Amino acid sequence: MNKMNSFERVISTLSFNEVDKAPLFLLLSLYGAKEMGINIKDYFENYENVIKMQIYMRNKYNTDCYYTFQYAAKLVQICGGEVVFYNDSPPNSGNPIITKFEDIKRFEFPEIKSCQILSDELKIISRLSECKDAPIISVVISPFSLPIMQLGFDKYLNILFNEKELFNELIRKNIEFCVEWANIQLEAGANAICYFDPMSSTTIIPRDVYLKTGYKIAKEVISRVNGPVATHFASGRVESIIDDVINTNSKVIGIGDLENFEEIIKKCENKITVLGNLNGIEMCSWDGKLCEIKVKEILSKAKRGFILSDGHGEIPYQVDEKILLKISEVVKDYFYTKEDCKVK
Amino acid sequence: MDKKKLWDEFEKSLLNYDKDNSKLIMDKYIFEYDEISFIEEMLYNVFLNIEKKWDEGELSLSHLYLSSIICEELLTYLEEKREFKYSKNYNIAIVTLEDNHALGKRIVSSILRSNGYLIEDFGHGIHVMDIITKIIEFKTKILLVSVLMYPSALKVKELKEELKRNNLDTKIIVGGAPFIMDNNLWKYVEADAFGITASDSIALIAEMTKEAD
Repeated sequence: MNKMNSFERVISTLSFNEVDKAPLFLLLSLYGAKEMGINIKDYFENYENVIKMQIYMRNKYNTDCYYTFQYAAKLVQICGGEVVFYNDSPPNSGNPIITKFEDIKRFEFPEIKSCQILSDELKIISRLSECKDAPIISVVISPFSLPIMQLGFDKYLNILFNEKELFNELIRKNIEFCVEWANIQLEAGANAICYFDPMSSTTIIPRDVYLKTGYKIAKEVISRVNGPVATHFASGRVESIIDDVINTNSKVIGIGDLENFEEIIKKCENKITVLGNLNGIEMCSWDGKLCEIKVKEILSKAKRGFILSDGHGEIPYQVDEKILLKISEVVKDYFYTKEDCKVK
Repeated sequence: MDKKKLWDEFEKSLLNYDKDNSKLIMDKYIFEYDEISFIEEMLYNVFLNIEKKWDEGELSLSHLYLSSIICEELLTYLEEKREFKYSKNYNIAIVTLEDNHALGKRIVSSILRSNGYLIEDFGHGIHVMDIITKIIEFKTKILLVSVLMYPSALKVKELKEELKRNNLDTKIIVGGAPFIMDNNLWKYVEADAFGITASDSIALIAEMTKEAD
């Protein structure tokens, strides 16, 4: 088989065809700050840092994508919310921006073009698109998951189950923002959108509730996004909603390691590409030998239409670079044929 | 009155987030038996069953959380209206360390209270040194630490070091997503024990309080 570039490899995987090497998506966001030796806040505040480190890390770890996601709390930051920066973990949203249910009626997103931190993200996408050597994956937080930060988890569960009108009103506003933000990122040069939707996983809500809420929302959003969408559940359980996710027209499903990997691969075969399912928390304590065992274990059960990645959507800061290099080394020996994932 | 039937009805009520019906069943049960029996038998066992189903993937976190809200409200009602007193006071406290995700703490707190334990809530987003101050103030013997984020989990090691530095013999039981994702993490951070489910904390506390006695 001829050597493919990352674009060819990913497109072939999405089409459930043969690939020369098992595709690898190391989703490196705050990890760039570690590579650069600066604190996370300073790293993200200068978009040139992110551009530089995305290119550097892609070459260093031989990962098949650029990942422009920075931190989810940006979407409350643009609405005047507080962001808490740490030395070694993802920035978190502070106190909820909607504290009273009545505030939902008054709540509005700002114009995307007026938000410096979002404009900077578009500059990152635009500059990386000039590289033309790997797909650019950009992220939106699903309208259904965003209220976790906007309201706080417990208040959100309350309005989800008890305040239908308020729920619908907030979701409608979130949908319009999400669609616009996704399409602006695609116009800037992103090749695919990762639709981050942990709230829809059956870890959080039962399937019958998902079908009335997250599923309908995803279907609408994905139908209005002008490019391919991958749906990610941040390690949440998904097995019982795979067919539903397929019906949203998502091209990829992100999975964690809580469920039976072989069963999921079987259910997804030739229908939707699977992305996963390295355990990012465990990776923090792996040595090279254990890393090799774990990666080989996954790839030995994988089939065409599988991209190796972590299960959460972000490599933890604490993972040693040697582990990422080891993962990159091991996947070189695996390729996909018409039937299976084979080792060279 | 068929206890098992009432338990099943109560569970259904909790899962449907039906506060009114849950209270009706509670009143029926207490009329027939008593408050302690309601809390330590029905409330506790039904909640335990819900949590077991969540752990097995049959129920979702929303089921568990919303059930815990109703349980908490019923417990508070009993405390205030009927002057119910907790029988188990072992200087136990609970905290969400560093991060602000208090869902787990709320669920664990509910199940412990439903088992008759008096629990001091240290809050969420609390840093190590503030926890030490509270431990000294409340003479805490057992501290349940809940976290969602991995770096918060790593802070448990720092907490243990500060306990040693201050000559405090408080036992630390940890729980939360990072400890579930990596079952060895609790040992790395030198916690005294770890629970996957909220109900694990009951067995662990019983063991620790037996040792103390």
